[in-house]
Amino acid sequence: MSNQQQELQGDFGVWLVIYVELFTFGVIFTGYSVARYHNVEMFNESQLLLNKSAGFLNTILLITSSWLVVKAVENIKNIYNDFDIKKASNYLLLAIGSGVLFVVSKVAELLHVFGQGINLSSNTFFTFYILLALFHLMHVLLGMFILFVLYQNTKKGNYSQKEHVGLESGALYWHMVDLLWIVLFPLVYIMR
Amino acid sequence: MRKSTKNYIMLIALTCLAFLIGLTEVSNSWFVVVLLFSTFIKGKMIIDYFMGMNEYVSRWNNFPTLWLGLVILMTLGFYFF
Repeated sequence: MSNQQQELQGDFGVWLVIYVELFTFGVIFTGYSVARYHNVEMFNESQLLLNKSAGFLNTILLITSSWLVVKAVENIKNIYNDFDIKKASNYLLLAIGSGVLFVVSKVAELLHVFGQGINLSSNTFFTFYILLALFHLMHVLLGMFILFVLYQNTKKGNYSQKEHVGLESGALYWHMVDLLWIVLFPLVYIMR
Repeated sequence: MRKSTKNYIMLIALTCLAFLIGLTEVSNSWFVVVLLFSTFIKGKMIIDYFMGMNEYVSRWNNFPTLWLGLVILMTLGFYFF
């Protein structure tokens, strides 16, 4: 079998979830663009109240976390001895750590926004911003729970060079969370 | 250096570029084009190399890329028209 005909990573179920999530977020992103089209000035003015540095930091944290998960999967796929299992579980632990930092940063950012008297009904921009932030945060929290389960399983030696579909599936979910944020960050924080 | 690490460095570099564009706080069409193009590249790297889609060929292969392309094009469309 050539390299170009390898099987898709993970199981079918996780791809189904990913496709549904991508579609859902795609609809919200489109809604954001349509709403912005109708009131560009208000969106640009409201965007200035957001903390771009927090958005930048969160992007770095999620990309780093995603990369650490890739490293963990690489270690299991090329497993040679117990040291590789240890390395893979350490990568997963660091990925969870990056996720925790993301959550802390995101919650602090949201609390700061709410502290300014801004809420869901302040204007359309903030309705989208708060909904997207909370909806994405829910996915991050679920992803972190999945990563923790993967960490436990990896530590116990439940994955091998041949049997690691569970690890791949969990990793795919986490990469999807990263992919969504990669689109959300420029759309909401930067583009004006 | 492993390919995943090279991709990671590239992703960080493109994120820094987006942040620098954001710091200008200027409404500029070219900035938006560069920003969205770099976002497409970043998303494509996640899909191809982190999710492993570059190693898989089937009719489903293009769905995440198609999704990404549509979202970026739609954003560009509503920005310019």
